[in-house]
Order: sequence, then C-alpha cells, then structure tokens
Amino acid sequence: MSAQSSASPEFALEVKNLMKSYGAYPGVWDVSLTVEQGTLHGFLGPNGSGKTTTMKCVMGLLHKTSGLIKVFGEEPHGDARELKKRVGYMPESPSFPAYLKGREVLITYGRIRAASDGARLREESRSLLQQVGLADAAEKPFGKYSRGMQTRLGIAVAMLGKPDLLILDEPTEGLDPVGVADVRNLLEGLVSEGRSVLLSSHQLSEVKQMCGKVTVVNKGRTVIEGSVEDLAKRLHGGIVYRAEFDSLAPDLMDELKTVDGVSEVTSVEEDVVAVLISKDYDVRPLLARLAVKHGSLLLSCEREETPLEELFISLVKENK
Amino acid sequence: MGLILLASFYFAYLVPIIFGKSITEERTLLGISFGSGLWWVNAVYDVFDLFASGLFPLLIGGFIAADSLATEFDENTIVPLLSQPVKRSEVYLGKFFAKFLLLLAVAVLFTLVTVGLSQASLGAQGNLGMIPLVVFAELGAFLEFAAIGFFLSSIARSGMMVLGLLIGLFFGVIWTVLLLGFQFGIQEPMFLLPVANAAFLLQVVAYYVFQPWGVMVLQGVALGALTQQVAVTVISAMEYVLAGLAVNLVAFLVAGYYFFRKAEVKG
Repeated sequence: MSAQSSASPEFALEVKNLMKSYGAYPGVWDVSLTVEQGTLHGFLGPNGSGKTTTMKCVMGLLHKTSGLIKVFGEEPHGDARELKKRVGYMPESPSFPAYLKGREVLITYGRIRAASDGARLREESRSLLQQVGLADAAEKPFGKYSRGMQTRLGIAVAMLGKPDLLILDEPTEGLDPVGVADVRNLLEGLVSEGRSVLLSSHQLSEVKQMCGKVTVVNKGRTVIEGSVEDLAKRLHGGIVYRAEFDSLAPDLMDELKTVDGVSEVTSVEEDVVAVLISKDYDVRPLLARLAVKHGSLLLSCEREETPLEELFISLVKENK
Repeated sequence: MGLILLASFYFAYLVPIIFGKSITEERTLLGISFGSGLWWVNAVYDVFDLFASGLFPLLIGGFIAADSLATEFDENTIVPLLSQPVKRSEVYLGKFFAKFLLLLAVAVLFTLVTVGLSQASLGAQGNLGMIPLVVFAELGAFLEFAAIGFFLSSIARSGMMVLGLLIGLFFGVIWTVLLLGFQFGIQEPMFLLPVANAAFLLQVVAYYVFQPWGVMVLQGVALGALTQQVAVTVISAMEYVLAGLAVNLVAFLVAGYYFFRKAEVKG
C-alpha cells in the first residue's frame, strides 16, 4: 500500500464525486460527503440510494469507477493496510462464522487486526462486550445470536483496536429502543473521545439526536449535506419563526415585512404569523419592540423545528 | 456430511479390493498393480483412482477448497475479514495454508486407515517405509485440486456454483480419460492436465521406490480401446508428473489470487 501524506487533515473522511457502476447499472452516480474529525455524521437516504455502496467503496470492498476518496487526508491504494488500522467498519448485516462464540469472534478479529497482544486483547474483548451489552452472551455461538445481538457484536468488532473513524451501516437496525439508546450513548462517548463516526440509518429521529451533520443521498447522488438546521433552512429558503401577538393590526403586518432579513410573513392563524428570515439571527427582540410600537404585545415567538422526516421526504421528492 | 458420504463410499469400495486383492491381468498390464507385499498400495491406488483418474483428489481437494473461500462469500463473512488491515494475499494464502494442513491430515489418515485395513485383512505386507512417499503423492494431488477449487471460488464466489463447476470438471475428467488416454500424458503436453498427473503421481511414486532407474511400461485407454504400450523411464515419468503438478499448482493459485484480488463484495 502506498498513501499520500497530508499534514493534519481536517476531515476524517472525504468523498468527492464518487461514481460506481456495475456494468450498465449505476450503483452510485455522484456522491460527495465529508466527515469532520471528532464528529458524528449521519448518512441518510432511501433504500437503494447508494449508502452501502459508498461505504463499501470507502472500505475497498467495491472498486470505485471514478471520484475521490480520502481517509484522514490520504487516498487509499491497494489493500490500504495502514489506513484500515484507523478505520472500523460494521456492514449492514454483520456476519461471522456461526460456530464462533461472541468472545471468540472478538479475539479472532482482534488477532487478524493485530489490535493488541494476547492479554490486552482478551481484556479489550471483555470491555467491548460489556460496552455493547453482550457480556452475558459472550460464550454463546454467533449462530444463536438474535439480529439485535448480531448488530451489537458487529459494532464491537468495528471498535476493535480503537479506530479513529467508525463507519457503521445501519447500526440501530434490529435493536429495541433500549438498544438504540445504548448505541447512541456509545457513539456519543466515542465522539467525546475525539473519534469520528459515519453512520447510515433509517431511524431519522436517532440521526437527528445523534448527528451534528448529515448527508442525504437519493438515487446515487448527494442531495444535500449540512447540519439539520441547514437542511431546514435550505428547504424553506431560510429560518421560520412562529410569532403570536396580542393583536395583529395590518400596519404591524406591513412593518414586519420591511424588517431587515425578513423575506416573507405569512398569516397562519388569527394573530399568528410565520416569519421567514434569510439571516441567521434572533429576531425575537425586534418583533417584541415592533409589537409594542403598534400597541400590541408579542405573546410568544418560537423557532419552527421542521421534523427531519418531513425534511427527508421533501428533499428526496425534490430530487426525484 | 459430504465427508461422511465419501468415507462410506470409500469403505464400500475398499472392501472388495482388499478381499479380492484386486489383481487382474489387465491391471497388471496397465502397470497399476503391485505384488503381494504391497496389497495396501493397490488399495490406496484404487480408491485414489476411483472410477476415473483423479476423481478422489478432485472431490477431496476441490470440495475442501470450495468450502473455504466460496463459503466466505456465500455467508458474507468475507466482509468483516476484508475490512481488516490485512492484505488480500495474506487472506488468500492463509486460507490455502490452512487447507494444506487439513489436506495433509486427510492424506495421512486415509493412508493409515487403508494400510491398517489391508494389513488386518490380508496380513503383514511390509514396505511401510513407503507410506511417507504415498502420503506426499496424495497430498500433491489434493493440493493440485485445492488450487483449482480456490481458483473456481475466486471466480464464482458461490459454493453452489463451485460445486457445479467441480462436477462439470469431474465429467470432463471422465471424457478426457476415455477419449484421450491419460497414460500418454507423460509424453505429450497433456501431462499438464491435472487429471493426467494427479492420479498418475501415486503410481509413479510407487515405481520410483522400487526401481528408480527402471522403465515403466504403460498402456492407456483411448476411445474405449487399449492404447499402444509405451516404455518410459521412471525418472522421466517422475519429472513429468512433478512438473505438471508444480505448473498446475502455481498457475491455478496465481490465477485464483488474481481474481480474488479483483473480487468485489456486493452482497
């Protein structure tokens, strides 16, 4: 393996204009994403949108047709052995030899990974099983694990050797709500240690809770990348505040429209308006002053939170 | 399960060989029967050469190899494996080496069981110093077909597909033997065919022990009839058969690795 060095890369992972085709069938057309170091990055998209293909290209399990992949500023070549030491990967349905017990799976892959020497590897395996909640199932063969347990073990294997970047394909799939919460805590703990995580998921609410930034893909193309707030801004063309006044006179309505940064004011209910602002600033003090000026009162003013599901569906529909 | 079936088949076939001593005029003429002190070699050779030249090593070597790589692809266990910081060459050769050890164990066990059964049934026969060479010959043939199994696994990446290809190869072996006459393999480029040298290896090794500087008189079967007799020195036969083995082993391993390196994991 050879790799081009780059000093102190800002991104744990950079994918630019990735294309992967299977003969005439395009798996991925144009996917770009960047995972900043020390962050948890969500990778969203409907089934067959190219998430798994992208992750497999990053791991060298599929050979890209064109585009750029950089892991910690270096482009993986050949077996990318050195880079893979810094990356842990959990496939969508992790599969290990059915006869191996949970503990043995970790020891075996730890040895392959040369993660640490014998005694430390045993200790690391014990600790990982504890972290993913499989301590009680350590001596059970993998073939007898439930789907959720298989996912947990897959996460533990990906964490072997404390990689700097974890790439997790649907890590909450098959988990019960407690399991999902456990994984969330686990991943947040990893990020607090400065490690980076890219996770694909269909659990949009989980992505919203866990991830600072998300990349949305559809039909093999990146639709949008940014924070959840950025996505909402992009969807609505700005930030929306819902303001309720004591009374809403027409002159107040007119003046609201002239405020710097306000691009649209829409009446929602009686005395309630939706104010769309193109600048990211707190508009509430200004609205309160305007209300008083027009003999009214600002009763409430809250920033509208667009559900991620709604955003996701809108973005996907937009790009059909 | 497959191994149990094979073992049952093996014992069912071995019993008449042991009790009938398996010596016929034709077999003596073909140079594949040894004297009364070597009944056990006859037994080994007969099982090894079951029905058609090279079938036994094809089944053992090919299926054991297919159970290695192709199964990893079938069960998707190849994904976590190739995601680790290891070279694909290490994975490929590591798996081949693991199968090498297994095949060595099979060769040793097969020979010892055959010798034991033969001695128990027909009495002490001697020449047991030949056992390591017989094991070597069996292992060589097993490995040759294991290399083919690895090659097929790298291309097909499916256990069922490899199984189909191996069965196809088996029928190819039968037709090759019937139509071309494999004994001439030592004189013609056909010596490169795995089927020509895998089973023949055992025979040449047996001759080599007793008369390394001697001459083997060979006669094959082609188009259903006995071919013309050919006399070759044991040394040249050994050279040909080992060269064929080495060429096949390396060629299939390298070709298999080429495809394994390019293999994509789509599942």
